[in-house]
Amino acid sequence: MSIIKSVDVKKWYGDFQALKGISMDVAEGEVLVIAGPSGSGKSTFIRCINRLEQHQDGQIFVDGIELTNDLKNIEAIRSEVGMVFQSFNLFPHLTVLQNITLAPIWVRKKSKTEAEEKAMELLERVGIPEQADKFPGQLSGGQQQRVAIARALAMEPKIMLFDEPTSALDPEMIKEVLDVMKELAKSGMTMIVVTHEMGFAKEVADRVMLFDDGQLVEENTPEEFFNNPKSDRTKLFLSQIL
Amino acid sequence: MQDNQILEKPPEVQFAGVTRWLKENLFSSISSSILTILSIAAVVSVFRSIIGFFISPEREWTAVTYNLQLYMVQAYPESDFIRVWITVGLLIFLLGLSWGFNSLKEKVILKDWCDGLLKGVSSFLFIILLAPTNVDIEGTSVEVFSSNTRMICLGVGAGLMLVIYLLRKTSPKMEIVRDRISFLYLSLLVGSIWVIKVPTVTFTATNERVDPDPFLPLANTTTIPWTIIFGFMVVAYLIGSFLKAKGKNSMSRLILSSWILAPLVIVSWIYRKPDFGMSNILTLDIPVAVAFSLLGVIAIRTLNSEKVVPYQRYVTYGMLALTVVIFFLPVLRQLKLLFFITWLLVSVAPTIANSKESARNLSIVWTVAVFILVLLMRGASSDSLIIVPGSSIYGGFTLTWLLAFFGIAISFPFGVLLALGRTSKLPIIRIICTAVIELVRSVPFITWLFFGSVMLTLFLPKGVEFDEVLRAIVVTAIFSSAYLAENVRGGLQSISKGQFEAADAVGLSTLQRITLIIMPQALRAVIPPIVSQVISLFKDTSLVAIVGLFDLLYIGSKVIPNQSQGANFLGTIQENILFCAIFYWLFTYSFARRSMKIEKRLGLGER
Repeated sequence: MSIIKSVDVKKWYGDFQALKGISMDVAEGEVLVIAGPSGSGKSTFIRCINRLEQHQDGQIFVDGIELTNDLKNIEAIRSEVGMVFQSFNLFPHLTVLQNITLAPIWVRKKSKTEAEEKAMELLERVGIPEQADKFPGQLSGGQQQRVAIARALAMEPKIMLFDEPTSALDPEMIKEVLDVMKELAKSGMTMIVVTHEMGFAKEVADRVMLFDDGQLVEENTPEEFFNNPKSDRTKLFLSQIL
Repeated sequence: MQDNQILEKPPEVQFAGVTRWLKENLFSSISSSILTILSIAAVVSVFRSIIGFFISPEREWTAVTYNLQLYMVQAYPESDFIRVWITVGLLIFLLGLSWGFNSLKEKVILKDWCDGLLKGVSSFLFIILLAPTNVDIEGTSVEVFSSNTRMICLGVGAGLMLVIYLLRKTSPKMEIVRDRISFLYLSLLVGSIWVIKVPTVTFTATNERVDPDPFLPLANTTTIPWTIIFGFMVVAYLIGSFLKAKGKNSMSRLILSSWILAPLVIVSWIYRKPDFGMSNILTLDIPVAVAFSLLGVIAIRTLNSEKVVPYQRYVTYGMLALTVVIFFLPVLRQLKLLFFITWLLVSVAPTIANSKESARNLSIVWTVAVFILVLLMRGASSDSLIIVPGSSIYGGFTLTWLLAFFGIAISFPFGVLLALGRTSKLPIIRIICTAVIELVRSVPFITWLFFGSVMLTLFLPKGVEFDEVLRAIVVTAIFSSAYLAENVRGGLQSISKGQFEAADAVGLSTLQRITLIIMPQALRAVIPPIVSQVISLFKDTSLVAIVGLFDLLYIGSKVIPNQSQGANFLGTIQENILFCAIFYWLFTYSFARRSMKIEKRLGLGER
């Protein structure tokens, strides 16, 4: 049973076609890594999944609900799908703890104490419980990204989307974020990860996809993808980044 | 993360001596030396003439001290002054309460405090040194500041500095709670009105001027009320601190709602003297309040019972229809308003009161609110027993305060809404808001005041008339909300797209996104322009003189200089204008200082 299903999804920015008919599906508990050069539409695609961008043609189903303009559907889907951004996007006027508890309190209507307990648990899990009362601006990039992951997890989502989570980080901090993501993958979370971290893809992914020019060029298991790619485009891509 | 790191402190900067400092900072090159000498000369000569102007025997400062009452309350009848004092007392009590409750109990290091004091005393000495001995009055030189007085002042100043210096030397690291220092200053201020003597004058029944010698203490009639009010403030501060220490955090909501209610209570009850009529209260107000509170409580209860839940929206629409119908029926205005807020309650109750506990809380809040509202409306709608000559009982500082406070308080929500409307995606709302903002901004404030005072009556249905002051308040509020909207819009634009996306991604609704994420950041970003706007609004209230209202500046510039009967202060315009300038400065500057502190505290998260 696939939890995300997309059928021939197309998207334009003005005259520029960013997505040229993407069809794919993700099974529950699967870890999918999407790779590809910049401008290939991979970020646009995962942002369509929680409707931060609107697709103009085709269909996307998340957890059986189709994404349409119906606000109720969008809000329902957004609370099921957690998202981690390249630039963290933490709320700078709230403390780490408030960042994490905000949505559970206001969207899930949890009590404050319950939400805070859960938040501390999550901070423990991402390894920075001691930073709970600091503001995001006082943390390092890696710590901020881990808070962002905790914030997304606090909504107890069924799916996590990662939009280049390590691209804005120093090399030293990439590892701490990847470790958290690996641990998350092992716990059975459904994840779609847009990243250039091929090591992560090799180690954790169940499937790897390559996007190029708005198209899905290759879809494969990690072993096949790295050792025995089907398309020439993948070979070229791998030769350039490895 | 690195706890075991060795902390190395920066080397302490040694003070290298006066000559070295002078050389490095004032005389580092020939051009800088010339500049230093020239500017010192300019400062000295300007200061001398300003001080000379202030202490010259030509100045009639009694024009100010005699008329302080006129400045503050204009023609308010003396027999009802107790109402004014109660107003001030209540506000200051509330101020003390929230001060004590919200105080961070910041500590000040004695050394820093002493440094500040030394600066203050040395500028006092500077003024004493510069004060001219003689001033020219019509060609003859008159002694105004004898060398004996100067020596005494200098001696006292130097002694004070020595004491402070010794204090600083003996225990520089000692910490003092900042609030205690504030109370020390306040008690000095209150003490000074008992002690400091200023030139005063009285007039006999036959218009003869009596100059008492020696002078009387400053504002003799206000010493006792101010002392009592200061006492109240200390008590309120202690209560606030006590409650905070006890961890009564729900008090913060009570204090906040008191602040919101205070201006309404003041205007409808204390500024006025409402002709209540007990029979009205017993036969009308109390039954109405009981009925509506019951209605609300029942509505909260039934709307969340399982049977009614599917029909919630029909109940809301029905209530709206009823409210509209009632609005056009010839019933009491109180009822119209009460139906309106009942509709608001019915529309928010399903979302706010969805658990047993929150339903109970909402019921309590509703009942209290209905009773307060009914009483306030009775106070506002009954005639005032205070009768004063002229168009309104508000004049002088009471008018300035009223205009500034309500202008700002009303314009704030409207400004924020206009800004949101202008950035909205809905075309009609965006066009309307843009049109309102541009229209209001492109016409001068004075024109709007004229519009409010002269033309507004033409646009209103016959028989509907507003008080002159109310019209001025409405115009001020509309004018300032247009400017505020543009400031807030600037703040909205400074929020990155990522914040909107993150708020969406965690599933917040549009309203939650705006109130929890976007607005707090946007408003924080525009504190400085908003503060300047508030300051300029406070000063712009003086323009209402143009439509015939007696504000502080008008009294200083026109009323007092033209007094000829009884009090004779013809032509004392310089003193009065200077007093007004200092008065405005005191308020705006302390406001600016306060807001700088708030800005620092709020900026904490954005380092």
